[in-house]
Amino acid sequence: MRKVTFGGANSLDNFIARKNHEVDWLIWNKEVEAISRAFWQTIDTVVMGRKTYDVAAKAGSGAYPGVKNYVFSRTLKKSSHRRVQIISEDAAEFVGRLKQEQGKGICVIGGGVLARSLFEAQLIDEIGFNIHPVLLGSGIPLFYEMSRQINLELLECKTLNNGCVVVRYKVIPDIRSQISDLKIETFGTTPI
Amino acid sequence: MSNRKIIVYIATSADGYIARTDGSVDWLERPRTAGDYGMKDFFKSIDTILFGRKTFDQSLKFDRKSVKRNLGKTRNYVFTHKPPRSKLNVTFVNEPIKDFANGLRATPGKDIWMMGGGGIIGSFLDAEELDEFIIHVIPTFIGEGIPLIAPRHRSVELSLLSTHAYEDGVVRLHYRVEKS
Repeated sequence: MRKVTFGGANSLDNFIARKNHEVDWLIWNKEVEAISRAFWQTIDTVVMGRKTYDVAAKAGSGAYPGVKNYVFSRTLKKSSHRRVQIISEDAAEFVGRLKQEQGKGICVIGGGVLARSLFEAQLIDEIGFNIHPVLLGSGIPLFYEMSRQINLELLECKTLNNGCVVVRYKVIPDIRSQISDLKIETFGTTPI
Repeated sequence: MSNRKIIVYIATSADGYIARTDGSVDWLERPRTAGDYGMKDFFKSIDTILFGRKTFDQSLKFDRKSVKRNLGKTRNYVFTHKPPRSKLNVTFVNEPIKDFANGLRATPGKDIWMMGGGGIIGSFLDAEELDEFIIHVIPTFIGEGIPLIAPRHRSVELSLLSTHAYEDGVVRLHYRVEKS
């Protein structure tokens, strides 16, 4: 089963960009570059929502180099780049299927809209943040509200010399809801 | 002017909330395998506590006995537009934050604990009257709730002073607020 990771750089108050999509507060240095490069070697696929893609496409091709890019959208017809594939089907179903295929890790990029539906479908295995020492107060949120609690296991907490903190968590699977899913599958058609 | 600091010392979920939407903090109750996260030492370094009204009411509701007992050990201020009558050891404050903070800082004493919630933290932050954040990040997403700082457009630089990862997965982040 391929590992699905959600994450990226955020402000301490969990924004990934200012309202106008600016990320002028991002701090980049050799340490971050090394962590980032090591991570990209573990994945071969990125998935993103349409809004994230719009921002990425404005800045360049919208395609992350060296990996397969999938963008979820019901309205977009054609991508701007041969490495970008537009997916109109349900994101959770699509990613659920991708996970079963052979390959390296899958990274969920961008804001919280796509991540929320993947969290709720229990498809995200790991989370990684690069917490920046800044408070923005408003902007593009990392998380959208979810109805369920997700327990995590801390895998790593690394302090960088630029004042950023990299934290990685493993999602602890919610056994109870898996059991109830199973019940529905097995007995769903049987009237009790 | 004394050099008393106003410090937010608080726990948040990993998705940045200090309480569920209804104010409950059931997700904070976890096995205490990693000790008190430095609470005892911090409490020795302060002599004053600042509360927002809702946080004060909620903490009384949550654990009246121990809150009442603790109120005896510190000077306590509760921010509210409608000061009620109370027999507890608290002073209700309905004064501009800058004036209040100047008064507090001009009085000799230990550091000051900003208890929250998000509304009063946001107001103190925007009045440039917060000095430090000590945040204990609990390894859980609660999904929705009251954010650590009331959202309002701002751009505040922080300096990371220290981090600590406890064996139970709690991460402590300690920042100094840089004044613009």
